[in-house]
Amino acid sequence: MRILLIEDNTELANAISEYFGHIGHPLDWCESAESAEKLLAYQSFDMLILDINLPGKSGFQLLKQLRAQSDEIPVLVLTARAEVDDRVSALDIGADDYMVKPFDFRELAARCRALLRRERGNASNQIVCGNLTYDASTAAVTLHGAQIDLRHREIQLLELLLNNLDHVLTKEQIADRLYRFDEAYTPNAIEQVLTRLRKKLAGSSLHIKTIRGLGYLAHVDD
Amino acid sequence: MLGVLLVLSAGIWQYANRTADISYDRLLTGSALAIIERIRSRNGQVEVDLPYAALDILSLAPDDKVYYVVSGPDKQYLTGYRDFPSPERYTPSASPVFYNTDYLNEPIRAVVVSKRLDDPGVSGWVEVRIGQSRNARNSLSNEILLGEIAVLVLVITLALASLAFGINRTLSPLNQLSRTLRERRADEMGPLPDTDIKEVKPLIASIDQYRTRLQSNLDMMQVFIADASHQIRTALSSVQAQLDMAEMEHDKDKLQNRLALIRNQHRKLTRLTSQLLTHALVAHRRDTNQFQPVKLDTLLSAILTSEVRDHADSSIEFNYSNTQRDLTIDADPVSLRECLRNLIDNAIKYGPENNSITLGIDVEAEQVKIFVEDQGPGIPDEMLQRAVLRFERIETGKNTLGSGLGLAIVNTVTEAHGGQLHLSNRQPQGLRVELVLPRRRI
Amino acid sequence: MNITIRAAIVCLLSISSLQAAERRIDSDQGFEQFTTSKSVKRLDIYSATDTRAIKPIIEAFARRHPYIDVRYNEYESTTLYNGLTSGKITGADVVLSSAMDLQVKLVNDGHARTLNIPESIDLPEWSHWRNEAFGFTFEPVVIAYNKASFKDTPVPSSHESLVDALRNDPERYYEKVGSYDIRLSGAGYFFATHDTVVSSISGRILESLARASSHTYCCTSDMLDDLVEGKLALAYNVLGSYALARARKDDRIGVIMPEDYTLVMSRIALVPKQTDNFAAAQAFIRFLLSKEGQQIIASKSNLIALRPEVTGPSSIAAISEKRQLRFHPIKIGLPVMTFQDEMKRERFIREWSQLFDARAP
Repeated sequence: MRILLIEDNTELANAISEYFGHIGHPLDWCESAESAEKLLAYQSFDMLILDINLPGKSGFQLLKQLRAQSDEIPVLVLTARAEVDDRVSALDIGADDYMVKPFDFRELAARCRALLRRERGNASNQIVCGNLTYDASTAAVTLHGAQIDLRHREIQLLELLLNNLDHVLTKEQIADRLYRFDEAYTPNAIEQVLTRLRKKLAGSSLHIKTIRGLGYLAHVDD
Repeated sequence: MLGVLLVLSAGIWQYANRTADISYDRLLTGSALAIIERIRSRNGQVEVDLPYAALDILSLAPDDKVYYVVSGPDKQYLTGYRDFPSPERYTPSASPVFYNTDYLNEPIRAVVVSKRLDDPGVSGWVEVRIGQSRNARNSLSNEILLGEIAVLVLVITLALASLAFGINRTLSPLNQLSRTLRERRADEMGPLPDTDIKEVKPLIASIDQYRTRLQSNLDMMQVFIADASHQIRTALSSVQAQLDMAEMEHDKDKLQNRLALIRNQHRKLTRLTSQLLTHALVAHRRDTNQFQPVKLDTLLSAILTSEVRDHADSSIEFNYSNTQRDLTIDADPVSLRECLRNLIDNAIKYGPENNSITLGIDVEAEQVKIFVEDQGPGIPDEMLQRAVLRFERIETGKNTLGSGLGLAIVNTVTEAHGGQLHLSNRQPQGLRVELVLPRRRI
Repeated sequence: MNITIRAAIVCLLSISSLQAAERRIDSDQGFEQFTTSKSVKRLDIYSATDTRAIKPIIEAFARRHPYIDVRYNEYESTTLYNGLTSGKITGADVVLSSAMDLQVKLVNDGHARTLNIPESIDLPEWSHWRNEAFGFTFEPVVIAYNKASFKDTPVPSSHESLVDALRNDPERYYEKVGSYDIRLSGAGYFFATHDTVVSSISGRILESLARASSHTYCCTSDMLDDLVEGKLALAYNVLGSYALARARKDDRIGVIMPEDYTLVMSRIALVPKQTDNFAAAQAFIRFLLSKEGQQIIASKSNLIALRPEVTGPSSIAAISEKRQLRFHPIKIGLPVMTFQDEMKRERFIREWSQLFDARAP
């Protein structure tokens, strides 16, 4: 897991480095988009934390350039600008997430983990969410290291939620995945599966929120 | 102005050419008539006795060459330049016909004139063609052209000068006004000196009105800054105090306690700063009119999603209420987002742990109500009105983070959208905040 | 070579060897040759002016421009004109001719090049046209006479008095008057036609000359010869430059410049389109018109200088002898072409011939 932090404020960068080292995720750091380009040219990273206000080439320009080169590396953008527009445009040009300074380091770490988790989930079969682990190849779920028995639909639902962390899934989207065309289901059925799943995962880092009128959202809190 | 000059010059050029042609065409005609008059028949032969005057007349154009040819009936060549060209289509006639041609590699202006001879033995049209190079015409037309253009330039210059003078005179009250404004101190607020010029009166009135409005905004800003600095300084001193005490602390548990207090104060400061900046942002956007079509469903569900994510670990219940998923209104999405986030954050902050918060819209014929409902303590009825005002802390007896800035932001955004803010308490408990926006752009 | 060239004289001049220039090598082909030298540029002057008259000025020019190899070719004026217009004469850089009408026609028909003559060269208004044709001599048309024939009676001093004298004293003048045969002489034709332009009695002059059975000649010099010998008492309309030059040398001859009007013609220089040596040609004409060139004409040649400010035996001042004369210069320009009109010419010559052919045998 290599994270590259591109931040020109030395104090902030040192603090982030120290914090990430402390929680077991040491990161690399450079001060400008130009030096980041050089690093990226011969080293591979799993994620970038990118400050927008940089001397010389801006973070936006670097990001645009990466995406133009079809580099899909996850990028979390940091912005100190009062312009809330930054948030919008950062996502528009291909940032995966953003945070506005000042921010909470714990929050930053959590966002990074979420991005890495999504990335890793795509690459391997195992998804780790804090104290919860899911192995897609064996459909095995462990909580605090102990295996939990889940029914088929519960596993399907869990996998669906884990693959869409922090995104809203509508009841219809869930039903489409959980039930075949010919299977009759009631809206309540999904609630029931969800209720069982919540109960079995009680105490885990995975929160499954119901937003009435909108759908469901899963979030890992670690 | 250059364009006008060009068009006029083109006109003058044509005029100059025509004038030059008319003058020298007269000479040509004179010469041709002098020659044709001297065509006689003698013993059945046509003869011409070229008069000295014919070429003498044309030497009034002193540097021009002359070519001529005389032919008898049936185009029989008599004398002159045998191959001098004829006009393209020509029917013999006693009146002169002018044409342009080229001869011996030079442009030539020529005339042809004919005469009917009806003498014994000789009958038919005799013809004189005589042409002249264009030196004199060109120099006359250039002379006319330059003369006229000089006059034109003079006239235009005079016109521009008098125009400039006139404009200057007309605008002198404005210059006076701008001098007055320039010399004023920024904080000098009395009305501007009155003017006698009728046309300028409304302008002065408008400037005065504008200044009054500006002043009230400035006054408001002053209060705002005073209050903000008070809050920031208080929070900063508190952090400072806790840091000083933490330094002296040796007991590990107590130190942890201090740090928690510092973190709490810091969070408060962060939020305050963030709110201040957001307020500045929405105020700026209000002043610069950043309206565009906004699909409310997309905006609201995005806001709600990010709120749910940020509070996923809480036991707050979030709800979304929108039956008009396709509704699009004219609005500023950025300020609207800030406004609604503030309302939701407020609901979370002041509500109980198991709060239930609903974001939704009610659509009516003329207006859209965007609302946020919670199950918090609400606001005492007598304070509902005051709560809307900027920087007024709501006395709820519960000590929470935050400032009155949240509602001030909401208020600014509402105002920018030409809407109204409604606060009402719900039964059995809770607060409903409604942004009532007109459906059409103001 | 064109056989019609009657008197082609190629004069090859070089300043570097003036002595050699004087050495004549006469040849049977009828041309004189001076020595030549290797020079950078060449200047071919084609001229209908006799070599002796023009030589001093050409030598002076050649002295001044040692690197220009000047060659002088003498032609008869009509041959020169026909050769230039038909393209049979090529290689001419300067054309000098006393046939004003032909020179003007060359200009009008586009055979001449525009020259740049400095403003400082102050020329009379009538003496140039279009910056292409430049008169460089001043040549009154005069009456020459045998002094002995007029011992007892005054010489007619005007056209008018000439007509009266011919009418009133026919014996004295019978077969004793000479004039140009306008069929043979371009100059004679030119003078006779211009009499008709200037004077209302030109018809009467011709008539009186014919009635006196006057002799007609091709050339001024022949008439002067017959005057000297006493075969003629008076010659009408002869070239003033030649007559005055002869009178200076031979006091049997007198010259009258008619008081009512004295026609003045001018030899014309131009540079033909075909020239390969334009710069040298222009330099030559500038020199011809310059004060220096004019002074040479006035002092060293038999021609009369055009510019009034120069001095010498053949300057305007010298020939006028302080008399009030009515010089009538023929303006170089379009009108002189009038008598070159074919039909006009034919008609004039026909009428002239009718008069003169009717003379008593």
